[in-house]
Amino acid sequence: MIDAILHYAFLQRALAAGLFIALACAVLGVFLLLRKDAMIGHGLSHVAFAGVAVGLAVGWMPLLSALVVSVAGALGIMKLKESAGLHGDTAIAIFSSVGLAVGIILASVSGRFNVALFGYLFGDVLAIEPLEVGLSIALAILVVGLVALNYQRLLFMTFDREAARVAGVPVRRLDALITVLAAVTVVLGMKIVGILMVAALLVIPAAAGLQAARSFRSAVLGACAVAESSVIAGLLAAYVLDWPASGTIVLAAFLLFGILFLLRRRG
Amino acid sequence: MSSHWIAVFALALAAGTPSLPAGPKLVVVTTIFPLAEFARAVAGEAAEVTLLIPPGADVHTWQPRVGDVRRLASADLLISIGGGLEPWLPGLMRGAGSPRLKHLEASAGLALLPAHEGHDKEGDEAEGHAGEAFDPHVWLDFGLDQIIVDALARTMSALVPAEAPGFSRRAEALKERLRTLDAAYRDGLRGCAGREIILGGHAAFGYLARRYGLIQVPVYGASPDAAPTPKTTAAIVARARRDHARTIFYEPGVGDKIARLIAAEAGADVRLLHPGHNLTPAQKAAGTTFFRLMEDNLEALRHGLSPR
Repeated sequence: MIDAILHYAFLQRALAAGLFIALACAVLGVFLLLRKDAMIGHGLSHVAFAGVAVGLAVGWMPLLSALVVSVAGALGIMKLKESAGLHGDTAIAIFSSVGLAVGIILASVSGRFNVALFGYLFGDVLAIEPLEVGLSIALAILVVGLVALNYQRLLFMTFDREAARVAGVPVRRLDALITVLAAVTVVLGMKIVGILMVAALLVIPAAAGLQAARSFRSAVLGACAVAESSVIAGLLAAYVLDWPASGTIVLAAFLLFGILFLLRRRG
Repeated sequence: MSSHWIAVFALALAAGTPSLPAGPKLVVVTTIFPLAEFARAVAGEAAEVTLLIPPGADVHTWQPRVGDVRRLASADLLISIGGGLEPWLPGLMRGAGSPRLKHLEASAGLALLPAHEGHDKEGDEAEGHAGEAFDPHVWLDFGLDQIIVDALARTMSALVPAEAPGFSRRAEALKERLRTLDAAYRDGLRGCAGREIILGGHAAFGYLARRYGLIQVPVYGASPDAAPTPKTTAAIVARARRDHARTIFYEPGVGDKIARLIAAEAGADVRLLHPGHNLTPAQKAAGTTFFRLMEDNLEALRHGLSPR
């Protein structure tokens, strides 16, 4: 495998992009899970589907329209959750169904069918271009940087929302920040490594990190460690076993989660 | 599931509209682009030929719409490839429920390749189309195309005996064009040293490879939905490097991403090799023909199979 990585630039790019996207997902994932928003990655991918269809129908750049529509959808989910008194997953379910419906209608009515649409939706971790590696690095810097800048306030708000609000923490702005970052991560991530990997990496490493954690910081660091190990172990196993890469990476993450879960129950 | 509901809904709609008078013209519905082009050429003015799959859509994943069920319900003849290439067709036909509709399966009676043969084992991982025992891409064999054209003329003649001489005359002219194309491929590929078509797409060129003594080495299997594995991709890169492949081919539905990746690793270039099953909206607007696509393919193959 090491030999293969040295030989094949496409494996090097898969590893690099995978590691950076996994990092962004793991950091965001911890906040999303503690907010009970585990399904948001899944839901936003459906909204992004509508966004790509809008782009193809109107003739914009589909990735851009997907970003705009997904960010709007993410803010809509947040709004609905707050003001309609619905639980997080109800708002996600509504938006993801409507996203899928709009996407299907636009794809059919505009006559630009599934081939182009699927091309924009399903990234492939093996076919990553140099530019996309750069994009993954930028995404990781953006997510980690913004979270680090707001770390204390995010921490306060995550554990005691009311107290944070009273203490003057801009709770809604920070909510919006995490939600928008999640939308950007889902859209870029699914174009680059595919929706399966992004949706999984937003949830499983964070869940694993929370299993092992004694503090919030160790939960975030643990999630990052699990995410990075899953990408490395998954890609390695995929090469050795001749399995599809993204599925194997997801299974590796699940395996690590399972190990940490059992360790915690014993400990 | 959803095509079922569409069929039920359309049946309700169709029942509400008075059926069109049959008229003097034969109404022919075809599934994929080459069949539509052949049927139009054979039918001339004697038939109204329509194509089900719209430009840009993929035959494997396309879903019929309400209007398609109505169209089929008022047709005289349906021409498909058969054998699982059109998985939505049985549902659509049940929906149309037309007792007078004649159905011609173009692949029936042809010398078919098994679904897995014709690809190189090194590159072939994925399963075939569900429930499919043979490779459906028969239209890329210009000899088999001539047999299909004969079958079209025979079937149309049986439906409109008065037009039989015209059908048979136009079928002969079309077969002559196919023979010319076939000869151009034979002559054009004879001088090429390379025998391997390395494809960043799916295994669509088995018949073409068989006819002209080539080997196709696809990244994907028989249908383009299963993702390639790291090992398969690495093996194909190694093979392209070893054999000094000049060109890695790609197809429009899959895109050139994986082909460009292999090409960059192996120092090759990329060229489009069109499976010929459908046009993009732009090609449709430009009036691109099947023969034009195949001539462009020959150019690409002559380039790619020559030494660097």
